Amino acid sequence: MRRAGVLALVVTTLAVAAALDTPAASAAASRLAWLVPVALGAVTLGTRPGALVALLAVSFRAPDILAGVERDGLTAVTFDAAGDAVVLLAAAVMTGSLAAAARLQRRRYEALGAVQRVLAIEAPLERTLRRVIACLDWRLGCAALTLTLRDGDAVATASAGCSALAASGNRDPVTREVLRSGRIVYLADAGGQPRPRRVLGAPLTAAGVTIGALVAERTGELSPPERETLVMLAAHVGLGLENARLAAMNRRAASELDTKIAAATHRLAEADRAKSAIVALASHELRTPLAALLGFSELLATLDFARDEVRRLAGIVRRETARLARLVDDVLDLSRIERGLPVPLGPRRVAVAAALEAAVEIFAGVDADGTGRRFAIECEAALPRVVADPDALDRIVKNLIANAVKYSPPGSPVGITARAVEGAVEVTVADAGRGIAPEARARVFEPYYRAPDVVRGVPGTGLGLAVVKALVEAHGGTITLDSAPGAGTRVTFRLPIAREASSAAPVD
Amino acid sequence: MLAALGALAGAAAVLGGHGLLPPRAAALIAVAAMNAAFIATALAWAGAPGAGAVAAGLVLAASGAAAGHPAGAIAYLALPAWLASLARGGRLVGLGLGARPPAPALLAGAALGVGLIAHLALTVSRTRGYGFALGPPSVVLSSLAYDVGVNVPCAECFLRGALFNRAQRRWSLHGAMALAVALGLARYLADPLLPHASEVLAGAVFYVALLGMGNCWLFWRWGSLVPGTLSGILLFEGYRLLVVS
Repeated sequence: MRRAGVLALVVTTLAVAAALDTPAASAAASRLAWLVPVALGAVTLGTRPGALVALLAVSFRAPDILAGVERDGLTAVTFDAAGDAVVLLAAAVMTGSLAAAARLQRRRYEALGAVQRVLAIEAPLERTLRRVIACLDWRLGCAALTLTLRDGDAVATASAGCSALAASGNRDPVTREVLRSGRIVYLADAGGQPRPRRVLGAPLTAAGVTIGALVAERTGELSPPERETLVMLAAHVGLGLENARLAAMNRRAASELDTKIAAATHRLAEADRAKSAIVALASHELRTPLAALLGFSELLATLDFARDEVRRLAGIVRRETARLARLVDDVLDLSRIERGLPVPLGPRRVAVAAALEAAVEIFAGVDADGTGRRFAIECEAALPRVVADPDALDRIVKNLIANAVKYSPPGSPVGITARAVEGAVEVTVADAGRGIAPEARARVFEPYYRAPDVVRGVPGTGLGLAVVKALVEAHGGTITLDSAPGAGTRVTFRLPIAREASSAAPVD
Repeated sequence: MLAALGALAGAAAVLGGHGLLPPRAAALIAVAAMNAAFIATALAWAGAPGAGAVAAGLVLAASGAAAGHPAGAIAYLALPAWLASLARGGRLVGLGLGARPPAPALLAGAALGVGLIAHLALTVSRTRGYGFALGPPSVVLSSLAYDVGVNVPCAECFLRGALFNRAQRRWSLHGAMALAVALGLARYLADPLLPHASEVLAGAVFYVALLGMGNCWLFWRWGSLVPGTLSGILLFEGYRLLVVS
């Protein structure tokens, strides 16, 4: 287009010059004919080339005009000829200005469209800035272009070209000033170059706040309309970047929310499944002792038995009743804990060794699996008393021993040790069972949780360890579990030692 | 120093006006003082005030030598030699005499000078019947030495290298160009050695204005003083060759 314009301009200029260089050519024809290449040059190449063509036209006519002035003085004819020159120059400047303004406007819209397309692409901020810079760089014809964006306390920058501001040793004072004041900064010359380097810094604004700066440097002229274009582009880029940032933030938030909702839904589904399983299991656990109670009490009520047989049956009834009571206690305690209510305790100074021996005696006496399981108790001599609810301590110990018995092979030993440590008494119940897998270990204290590998094989409610943990913590103690698959399980809890002098708790 | 040069030009004008000094000698002194002031100011603005004093001295001395004997005009070439040595030392970067200009810049400068002199020749041949002809060698060489050595370098160093360069770094190209061209016109119209015939003055206004605008554009486009100096030398040399046929 430009080459064709130049060619047309040259051809037209030569044609007009040749046609008018004859005595027959009238002044009017000369005036009108020269307007063609002048307007063509101005439209095709801009104001300056247009003016140059006009000057050329004036130059072609100058010999005749000057000769006329010298010969006849300033007459109407010579004024008319001089007027031609003025008209030609004015036509060149006006046409060229209009053409330049139209071209600039087109470049503006093209740049805006290109920036819009770049900003529509989802990408990290730094990459977006680089793309915007690359998009604007060749369109604006700048020697250097810097785009800076504040993102909270961080500042992201992308640049193209060789900045005279940076080269002069300053840390881009224009960007700093624009960010500080939020105003347009124009430097007629950045200095340090053989040719003047114009610099314009325009603020990037969003919702009236300066969020960054666009700094353009150009060797040569940066005309006022071009400066306006840059300011407008900066405003557009600022808005676009802010929108892109907000959109990215929304997308991140939505993604996070989706993840959270998915996790919560998963947990809810899991809890629902677990509760259904527990309800089924609890029904089974309640039904077993109830069936025993019903059956043996009916036998006692309807048949005559020998005294020893009656005692044995009564013992079974008592044991099943205790089991039922323990189960009901667990459910009630857990219900209170889940509702955030404190566990009712009657603290006393309790001798741990005696409590352990009493609990073991029951298990050893019952010998539920009939395999002659050995319970080994090792208590430090002169073990201090702890402050605890005796019933709660009893339930803690029995729950742990019951678990050890339940999840270890018949006949394998169960060790119970107690020792004084750092103001507490530490009790450990260890078995030689199958152990707990790492992924299940983190969850064994959750209510209703049962490790997947024992759900089908071993009956249980998943309440025991949850209740134990709640009871220990209600006493101000701690509980830990150490286990590995195939290496048994050690549950250790600590209860605070009773201060003999200060404790008001009664002795049990 | 500028005051001293001004006083010198003023004194020459006064003495010449009262007939105490031959008009030609007074004009030569005034022009020499003006050229010396131009080059001294340009070098001072470029950050070499000491060199400015030396250059002014060279201009005055060369003018004296040229006035004394036609062969003395060769002394005019001392100034460009001195400026070249300064430019090689990197002291005239501020005047646009640092890096070597690219070939297109030199071509553009030559084209401007040749174009203007061609137009001048065409115009004067159609108006007054002037034509090109070589005068006596001593006169031609003397004029050539003056233009190459003092006239063009002093004008370009001050009008483009110092004045326009400073102005374009503060204002727009057009403002700076208008200032430099206006001062250039004033400089040549005030030149006592220029014939004061109306057609010569009109021609001077026309061609010096075009030359000034063209040289400003060349300096703006390439940041070098050399293309403008080349175009100026070509135009002035063409002008020197014009004689009435």
